[in-house]
Amino acid sequence: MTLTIAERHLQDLGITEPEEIDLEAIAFDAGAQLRYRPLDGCEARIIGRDNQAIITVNSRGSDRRKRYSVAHELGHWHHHRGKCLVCRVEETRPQTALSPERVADGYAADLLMPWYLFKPRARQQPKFNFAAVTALADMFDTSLTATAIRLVESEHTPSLVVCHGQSGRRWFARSPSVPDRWFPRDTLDTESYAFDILFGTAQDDTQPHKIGADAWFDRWDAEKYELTEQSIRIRASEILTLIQITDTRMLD
Amino acid sequence: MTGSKHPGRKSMENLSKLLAEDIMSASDEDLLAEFTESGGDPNAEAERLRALFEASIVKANKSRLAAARAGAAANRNAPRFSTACSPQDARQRLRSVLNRPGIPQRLTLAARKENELSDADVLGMLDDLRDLGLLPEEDDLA
Repeated sequence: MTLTIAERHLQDLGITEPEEIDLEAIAFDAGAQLRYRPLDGCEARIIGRDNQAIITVNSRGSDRRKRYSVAHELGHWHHHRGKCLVCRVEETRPQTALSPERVADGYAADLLMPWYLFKPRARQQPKFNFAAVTALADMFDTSLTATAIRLVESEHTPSLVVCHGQSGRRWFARSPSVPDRWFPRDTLDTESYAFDILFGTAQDDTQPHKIGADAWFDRWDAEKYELTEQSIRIRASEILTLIQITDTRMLD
Repeated sequence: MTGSKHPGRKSMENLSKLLAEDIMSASDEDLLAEFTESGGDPNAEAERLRALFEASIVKANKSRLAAARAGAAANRNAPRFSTACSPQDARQRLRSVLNRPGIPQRLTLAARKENELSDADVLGMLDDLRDLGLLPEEDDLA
């Protein structure tokens, strides 16, 4: 298994368990100091001179948000040293794979949930649902959203994770084994269980529900298949849905 | 003098040397055959030694993590000073530092634009720049 830059750094520090991912120590080893103070304009920033840097994180954020911010700034430190970047708060995940924010996000995911620790623990989760996501998020001290993306990308199960707001789909992630033609609809189908959670009074799904694939994919052949969906509210006007591809014909 | 106190040591050294030479001069096939004849499993032994080797590396690397933890803890408790100046002065200083010749080439920065920062954020950035040695002496209010 080829290690990423972040994973190599973790192994160089002898990290063999998720709870050993001590970001303050990792940052120190990389020449960066951490500081926590209230920030108004963003969640975190990094200022570096030559090989020394100070990462400042918004102290008002949740602990998991702060961990993610530190890991993201360390991503900039490794990939964009000597550059001046102006960051913006983005409502959607950056679309360009090579954009600095996307690169820093990828580094953060690798640092917080390295594959060599994540995959063996993901495999121990018998089912693909939010209970599994929550269990892994607790192990790695990461957000439900970041963990759900990682689980989908880990190929635990052929699946997607989709985020919707009131105005439509904000972003999604898909397992490598799911063909590109399965591109989720821009807006929620009224038949979906997710619709009632986002726009109605329904509570979070405690279990995945079986539903026709045409509720999630606007393709002529979608009505031939079934899949499962499970949604939870992650903000006042935002939901996260796990979609499991249960019909293997969709993977052909 | 040491030799006279421990007459057996020299003999043992010579024996060790001979054994090592014997092993080094043998072919891989001969060594494997000899090891198997004596009841050993070469694959299991290779796996055991590999695990031992990897455990040694992990142990050594963990000492680097422990050192980093200690360094970070010491750093956390170091005294800090805050920049005290008016918001206008702070913004002017920030602009002058960031635009000083030669600085952008040495700087790594991922932050919002200065005109999108609150006064508190600007003062915080000046603190960071001073701690990194990027504020000129006349601006050092520590």
